[in-house]
Amino acid sequence: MNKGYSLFVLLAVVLFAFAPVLVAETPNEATMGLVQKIFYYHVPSAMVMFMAALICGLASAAYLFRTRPGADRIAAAAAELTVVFGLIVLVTGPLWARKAWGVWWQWDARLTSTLLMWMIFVAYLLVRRFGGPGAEKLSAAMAVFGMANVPFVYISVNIWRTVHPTTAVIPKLPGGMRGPFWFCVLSFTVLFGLLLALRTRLEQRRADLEHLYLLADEE
Amino acid sequence: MRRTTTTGMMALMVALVLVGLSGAGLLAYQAGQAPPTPAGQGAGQEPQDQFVPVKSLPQQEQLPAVPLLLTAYGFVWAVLLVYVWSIWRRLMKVEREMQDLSSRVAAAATRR
Repeated sequence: MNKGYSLFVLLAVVLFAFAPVLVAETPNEATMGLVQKIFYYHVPSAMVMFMAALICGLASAAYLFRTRPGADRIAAAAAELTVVFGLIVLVTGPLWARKAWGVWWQWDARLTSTLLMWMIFVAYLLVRRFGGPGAEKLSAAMAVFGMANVPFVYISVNIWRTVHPTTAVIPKLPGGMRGPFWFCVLSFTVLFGLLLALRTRLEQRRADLEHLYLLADEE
Repeated sequence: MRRTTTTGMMALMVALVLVGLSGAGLLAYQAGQAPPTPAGQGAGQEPQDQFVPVKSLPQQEQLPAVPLLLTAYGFVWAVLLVYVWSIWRRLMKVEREMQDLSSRVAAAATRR
């Protein structure tokens, strides 16, 4: 592990460990109370999920149209991260909703479209794992469709009538909430970058191993 | 004969899709068009687009929220730790396999 990478790990750990301390200091929200603090992990996770889905889709498009194996490795790593951060979004959201709305789940536009997008990326991983020869191309095409969902999920709260808070909540955040929120966004983004680098390295090493097996078979 | 069977199958599929769609439409009509009203929001009220901070929290608000909040934060930490561990484990497995293979290839080369 090189020095830059170690510093990156240290930064991610420090930021992520300090985030809950900062969140504890933030004021409570008037109508939702204490449970609104889930927002500081829920929304950054959603942002990172969108980021991962976009990276996966773009890398998959690069793999499909330019046949770049490196892009496919990045896409595979980003797809797994979309599923991981999507799972966080889909679990922390209902925990907040139980208190704020009185129910765990509503089949409204935002929640349903997020679930569908998450399921597309789960399908990507399943196809890649069990699809056999040529599964990489098939899954790459799925990722492009998964990426196309991102803008719809994002604007769904503004277009359709939904119980989910709108995207206007973030720009209108009051002073005491804005700082900790963007700090959490930063820590999730740094962590995402670190995990993406680690997971891409795993794909790279797997490709190296496959290449080594081929060389061993030839000899 | 085969053409007639294919056309018949297609007609049956179209009919099934139409029946399904009309069934779904009927169900949607019966369910009504009004969106669900969440707790704390009255009928006809617009979705919240701004958070308002307050200094103190009503007493009855405090207890029920704590388990949900702790579960959410605990879940995030648990998922991320398990995921980091899983990447590390998979990476170690690949590295081990590479070392084994390299030593096997080297041993075969010296035998030759």
